[in-house]
Amino acid sequence: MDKILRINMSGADGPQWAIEPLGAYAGLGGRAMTSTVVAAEVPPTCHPLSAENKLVIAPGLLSGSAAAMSGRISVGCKSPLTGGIKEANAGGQPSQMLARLGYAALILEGAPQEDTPYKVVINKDGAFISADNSLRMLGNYDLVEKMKAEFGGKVGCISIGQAGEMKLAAASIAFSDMEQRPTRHAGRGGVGAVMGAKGVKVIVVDDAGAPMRPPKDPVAFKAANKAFVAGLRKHPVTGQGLPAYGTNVLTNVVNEAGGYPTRNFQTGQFEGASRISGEALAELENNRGGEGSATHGCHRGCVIRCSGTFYDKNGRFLTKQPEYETVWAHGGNCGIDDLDAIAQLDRMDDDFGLDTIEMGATIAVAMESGIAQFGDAQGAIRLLEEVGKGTPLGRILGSGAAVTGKVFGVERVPVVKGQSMPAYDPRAVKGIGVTYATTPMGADHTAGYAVATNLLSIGGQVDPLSPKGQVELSRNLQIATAAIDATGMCLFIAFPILDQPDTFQSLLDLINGFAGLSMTADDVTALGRTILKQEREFNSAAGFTKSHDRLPEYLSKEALAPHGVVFDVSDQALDEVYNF
Amino acid sequence: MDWQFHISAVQCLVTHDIIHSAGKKQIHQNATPIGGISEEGMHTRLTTIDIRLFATLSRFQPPDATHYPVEPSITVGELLSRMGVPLTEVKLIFINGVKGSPETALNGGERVGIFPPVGGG
Ligand code: SF4
Repeated sequence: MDKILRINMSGADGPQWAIEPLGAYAGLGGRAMTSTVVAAEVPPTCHPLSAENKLVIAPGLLSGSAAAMSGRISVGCKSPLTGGIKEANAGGQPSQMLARLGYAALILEGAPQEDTPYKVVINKDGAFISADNSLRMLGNYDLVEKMKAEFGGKVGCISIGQAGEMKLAAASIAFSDMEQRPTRHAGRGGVGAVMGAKGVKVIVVDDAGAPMRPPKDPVAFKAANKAFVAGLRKHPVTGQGLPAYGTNVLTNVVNEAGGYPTRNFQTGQFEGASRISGEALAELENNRGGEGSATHGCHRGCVIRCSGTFYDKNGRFLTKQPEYETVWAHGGNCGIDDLDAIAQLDRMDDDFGLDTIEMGATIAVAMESGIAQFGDAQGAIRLLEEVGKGTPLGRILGSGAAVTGKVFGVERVPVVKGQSMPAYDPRAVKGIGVTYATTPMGADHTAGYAVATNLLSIGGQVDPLSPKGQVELSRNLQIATAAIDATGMCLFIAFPILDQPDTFQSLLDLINGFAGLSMTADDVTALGRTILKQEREFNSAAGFTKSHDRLPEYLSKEALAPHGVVFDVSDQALDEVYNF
Repeated sequence: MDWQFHISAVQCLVTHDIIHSAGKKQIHQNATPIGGISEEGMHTRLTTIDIRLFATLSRFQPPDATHYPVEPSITVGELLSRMGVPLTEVKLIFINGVKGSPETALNGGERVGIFPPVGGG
């Protein structure tokens, strides 16, 4: 990964591309790369859909190597949903492939003169960009099929569906998985709309002839990788829970804890939780059977394999195993307890190219306004169809929960910086509330997963119902997460790393053995801090103040059942999070 | 083994009411004794909890989980041992949505959730 591929869509004679040396960006990967490039090159006050914004796609530092878990990729830009800096993270195959081709980043900039969908092909000989009108308004599934027919069964695809083409603020970017299906998404913040604004419909990555990235110190690297994998296997969460039940194992936990946002965050427990839980989902998948049903990886090299494959009643492939967040967003948050309907909604989101969290939250807000009823799965499917068709109602919904709440006059809209909250009610899980409020990303659970310590007793224990200790917890996790997001490692390695110091050490040894460095834990923390500070400075320059680091007011006024709690971490405490 | 316990506990609950209303000691002697409960304990009115065991522990879920009989002030740890649940596999205990521990005593009427180590996101 010693070069950057820069594609300028603005050229009078069509898009131009150039391969550049890393220069000032040397040594960066994943979120460190995307946020540094955005901070350095994108004017913070620009319109997110303008030619001045850039879309940066960066494999993690260890991607393309033999390191386990290293196939995650970061997508960065100024977000059309939040108006701030964005890093959205995804699995899938393209990360490893781009890294093997030697690209530390792919930067899309400018904007095409005409409204034509472009296809970019990246292989060992460079980049090939062509206009292709036959791709217009294709869903991700048809699009990837077409690419498969054209370029063969081994290429990876980075693509947008109809939502990205319409530049909707909930649009995602799809990354194809091991089966060449567009199931892995950089979901959050409307990154798909920025790709749409660049006029790029699909990026086909062909790594034929590209070798695996060799470590600088093969002996140390190999030993560290072995110890790291053993640590992941040893920890009960990554060794047993996640492979058997997937991320959706959380439904019952969060529900038992009274922090499961139900019917647009009206209550903290859902009576239908057990019917859509990870246990129920695994049972259904195991009964239906099929290739990769209950335990499957989202990319090659994952040893945890929290994913799976969802087949419909007739045994036909429908979608990947829906994640916890998706099952919550389209399930309990909308009062829906039907796994087949939820999987159908997941498939539609992936096909249209939409963030499942944002869409579930949006449909719940729409339900609160009365345009559909809570619990009406067919109603939810109809609303989502409108988005795919691009009707005026569909475009409103595809713009996210904040816009939908405004249009339909709903007060209770669970967003921060315009981005909808995920599957933990901040009143009953206060640490994650601090993360929602203060991360530069807008409400985002992955930015500092305090749920681990608040509810799961991982990395210690902090009482979820008390405001005490949440600021420190969220701060430390936000710093650690920013660093992990730079490595290309899946964030779920955090569970063993928080609990097992030797596994954390083997991760350090792995990075050091690969890059020929001698980083310590302090250096990792320093990296995390630098990334966060940079993101926050971008947001300040874009007009964000501490008044944006707040949860919606109703969450500090309306008590949540069953605990009868409000969000009561003080404003002063929230302003302390970034004092480091 | 845990089946045994339910049956006897439910019987005890029923019998206990009879004892109470009839006030006769003979009927008491007919009640199936429960391991670990003293004669004294038999006079304590049994109560029920709503117990749910999740993920890999769901194999221990009793059929009458929503009104599972327990005697008041039993600890979660005692209860789990009696149900045959290996405490080494138990990581999270929620009592009415609040984190508890094996030492937490139950009064009856609680909703109890038991989990092995889990994570996701
Ligand atoms: S643990 Fe899950 S999300 Fe992480 S890399 Fe593996 S399959 Fe993907």
